[in-house]
Amino acid sequence: MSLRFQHKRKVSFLIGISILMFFCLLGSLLLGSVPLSISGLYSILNPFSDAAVESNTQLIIEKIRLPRTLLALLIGATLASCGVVTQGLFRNPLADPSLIGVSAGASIGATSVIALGGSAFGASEFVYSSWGISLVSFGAFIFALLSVVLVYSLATGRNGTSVATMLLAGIAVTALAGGFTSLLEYISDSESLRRISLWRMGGLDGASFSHVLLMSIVLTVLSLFFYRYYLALNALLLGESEAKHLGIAVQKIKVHLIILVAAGVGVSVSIAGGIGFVGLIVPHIMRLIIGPDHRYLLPASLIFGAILLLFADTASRTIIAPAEIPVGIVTALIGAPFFIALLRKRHRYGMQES
Amino acid sequence: MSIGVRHFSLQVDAKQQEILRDISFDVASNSITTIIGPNGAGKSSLLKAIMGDYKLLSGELLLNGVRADINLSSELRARSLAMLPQLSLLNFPYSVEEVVRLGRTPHQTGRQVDDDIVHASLEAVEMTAFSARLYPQLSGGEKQRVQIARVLAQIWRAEDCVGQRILILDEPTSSLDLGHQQMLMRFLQKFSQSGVTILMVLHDLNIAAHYSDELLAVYKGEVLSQGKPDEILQESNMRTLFDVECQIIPHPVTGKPVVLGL
Repeated sequence: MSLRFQHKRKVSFLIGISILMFFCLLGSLLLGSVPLSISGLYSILNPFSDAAVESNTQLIIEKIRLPRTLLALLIGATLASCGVVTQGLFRNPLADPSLIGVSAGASIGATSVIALGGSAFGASEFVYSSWGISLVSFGAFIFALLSVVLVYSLATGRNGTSVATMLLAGIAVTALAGGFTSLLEYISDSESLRRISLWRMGGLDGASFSHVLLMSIVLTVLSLFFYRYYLALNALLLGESEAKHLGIAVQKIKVHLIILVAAGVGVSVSIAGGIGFVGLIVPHIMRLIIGPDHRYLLPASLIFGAILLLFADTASRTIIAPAEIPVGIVTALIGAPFFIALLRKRHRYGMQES
Repeated sequence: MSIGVRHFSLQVDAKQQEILRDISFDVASNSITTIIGPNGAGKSSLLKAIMGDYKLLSGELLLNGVRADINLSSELRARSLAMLPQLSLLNFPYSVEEVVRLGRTPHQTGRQVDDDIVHASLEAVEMTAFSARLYPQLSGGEKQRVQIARVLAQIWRAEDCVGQRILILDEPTSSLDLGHQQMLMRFLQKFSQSGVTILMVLHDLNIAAHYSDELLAVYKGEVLSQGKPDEILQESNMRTLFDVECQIIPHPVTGKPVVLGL
């Protein structure tokens, strides 16, 4: 089978999952505790339509479901793209952005704002600052970046950044952050404790259009850079010195990619809390289907990540409607069994320990 | 001269002895030079130092008489200088063809040219039939041949390269069977005559003697001697290098030196 033939097949695959993504988007908008018909959706989205839709429904769709759906799409795409890059950078198909300490740092930030802020200002009124970004999100983001900077500087020496040391430093920082988070939980009151555990489960409720705007900027910048580096990412799978011998500016590109992953995951986690497994499984499944060439793997994972989170969020809203399950629980409940199944079959896909 | 190594000194840990100590030598254009020496002598470190992988204590690298360590960007260097590492840890499910195509990363020669070069390099190592197979599923020797094809593809055509083409190989025959060892060495001879300077490390002294123009004996981070195979393969040198007694006789057909352990 020649590569040119494969190119056509891979492009058709990308078109196929884009269409699937569109239907998931549609489904996510129509389904929920307030059901909506296609014509109803059309008249809401089309300002010139004069077909009548109940104003409550219109409000729910415009103000709540539309930003939430778009946010699910954007965050799913961001987490999956960052997952691809992390796996490529660590040359390990089982790596995940949380390995470099992003998620652990974010949870310290969020937990301290909730626990300490809660006791300082009373449980409720410290939540919002400006631009729709809550103080909790801001704390999560700052600490996510701080922990990546710490992990990165631990792993950088005279001969460049050692990816293996980064992994170990990430584990250490994650353990440290876990200790701090538990300590904060231990000293906080029961209301803060509930908020902390809800944050950790992850959720897209409270999505606003400013979140959507922020995430679209992040995802656009991220995917442009990632795609620009697809040749470098391909060569990096051979090893860092091999990539360097192929003329890739390895150290510079590594730094760019780490910063971008930290920012992407940091912003996502700060808005939506801990949504696990998307960054791990999506690139993995896509690699099994269309191979490790990042030229196709990056767009495929971006699209499929969006699909997965749209699906999980719709499920989280509809399974026990009108109540909902945090989306982090849904992704873990779908993701973990799927991942176990993959592990059992991994020899078939040419993945081996070395 | 094509490769000129001048006063290479390398130290990984300030408390430890230097791995390379003031190494200088030349490799002539379009010739094959093989580095021999015991384990831990600094052979692989020397190859990596030439590739610019380390910060040296001292040293200059001359390619065609021009200082390459400061005058050439890594992008330009990659167009004419390729290296096969000792072992490769690639465990992503690339196809064989995709791995070889990675060798074309430094060039912007377009799809058609790259297709032809990938095909030709696979043919050179007799791996054409494997081109659609997944790399991680191959045997050790097959993987080694694919990696060789990848570095061949990197410097396949003289017109894509900047200056003289140089190929550096760290134990290219370590996983190959007798037939493929010969196939590879004959190919490398032809390849070097087409305008490629080859510097490699081999442990099989008889292969080294048979196919190299010159041998470079490295011992404890220093050059012990450099010269034609029959000048270097002497019983006294073998004693110093490997601490073994052996006999060296001429090959009954080719007359090249053959090392026999006692």
